[in-house]
Amino acid sequence: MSGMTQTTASRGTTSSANAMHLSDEALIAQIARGDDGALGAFYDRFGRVVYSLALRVVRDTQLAEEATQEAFLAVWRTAGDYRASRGSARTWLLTIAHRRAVDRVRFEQRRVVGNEPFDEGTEREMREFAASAEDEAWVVFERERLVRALRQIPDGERELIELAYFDGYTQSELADRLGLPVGTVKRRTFTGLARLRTLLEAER
Amino acid sequence: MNPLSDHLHDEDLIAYALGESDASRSRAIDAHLETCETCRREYVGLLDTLGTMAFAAPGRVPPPDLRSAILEAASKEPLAVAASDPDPATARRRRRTWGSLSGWAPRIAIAGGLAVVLIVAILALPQDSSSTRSVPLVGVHGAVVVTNHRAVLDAASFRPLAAGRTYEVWVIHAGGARPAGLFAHGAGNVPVSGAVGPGDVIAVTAEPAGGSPQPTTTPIAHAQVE
Repeated sequence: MSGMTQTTASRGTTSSANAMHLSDEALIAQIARGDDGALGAFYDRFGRVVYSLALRVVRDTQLAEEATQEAFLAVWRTAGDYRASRGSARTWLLTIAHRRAVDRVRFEQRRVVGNEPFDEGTEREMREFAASAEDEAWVVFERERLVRALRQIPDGERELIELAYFDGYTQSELADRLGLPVGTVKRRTFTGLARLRTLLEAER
Repeated sequence: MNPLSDHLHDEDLIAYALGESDASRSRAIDAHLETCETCRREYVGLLDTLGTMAFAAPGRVPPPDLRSAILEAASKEPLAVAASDPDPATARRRRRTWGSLSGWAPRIAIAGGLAVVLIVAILALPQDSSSTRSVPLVGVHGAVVVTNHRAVLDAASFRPLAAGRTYEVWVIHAGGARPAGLFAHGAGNVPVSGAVGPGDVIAVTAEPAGGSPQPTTTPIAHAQVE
């Protein structure tokens, strides 16, 4: 791997054929060297996931495109800051993308809220999971694994996770909205995520 | 802020993972995560689970031209040098734009006034004042070393640029910006062409190969000559 990295670095850009064999972390290392081929490959791998996430959060295609672009440009600018000790490259990207989208939705005040019951929303989205058959196999796998896990979580916990993650509510906003003490909201969100984590790990 | 010698509470972890901790709390949590393997593992697991939630979004296909738009925008970006800030959002806020450089104008004007005072003071001194001063760069690790109105930029830490881009040095004073040389990644010490005076700002941008007559992108690094 180090031999390949050296070769591509001296040429300055990673071809898509080479990139296919690179891990996410190796791509980030190449991006940190200013390799725009690696940035393109990273986009090819995660662009759809990031865009889909952004669109779910901001609910507007123009804003979702902007949030996606900002996320990948943030990767380009700060790839040198990536620390493997703080999680996988994929998690790093999705954290950046999520924050960008949430920042957008908070800034634009475009949150569409309260217009559909949680369960209906989730059920509708779960049906849509199946509809996106053109996604790559690994995305379909991740999605199905997550859907199975989410179904096993108590409704109250899943709702909190979804409201915090997809609608960008802060924990104190959720407390206000649901009429719960903020400590309860935090504890319930944490418990839900811990449960989800255990379920996801069991599915691996 | 206490140094957080105990393990982090769940509430802290969740707030930090969701980007809701305030700046001072974030610093304390980040410092704790740096040294505590147990909490770090917990935090990474939490972040990983939150990241997986992205796959619950209905799968959508981005417009086909988004890829080229991103690559095009990236090619125009100077590569920010690794900041120690773990949150790219705050790292980004630190970046200066040329727009915000207009905020420098009053400072440059004040510096210009100071420069007159300094020059008068220097002229009054015996002429053996060949003092060498080193001014640290802001934005990139490095310095500008000034001796007798000549400056040298220590450019060892500048990262490689995308193909077709070059670093360009500028000397900015009250009258505007003048080009002061080009360099590439790995250049080491770069002489700043022309004279520099007290109050001048030495800045570096990424420009198209061959350089530009005026800066076209955000400065990556700058230092003000004392």
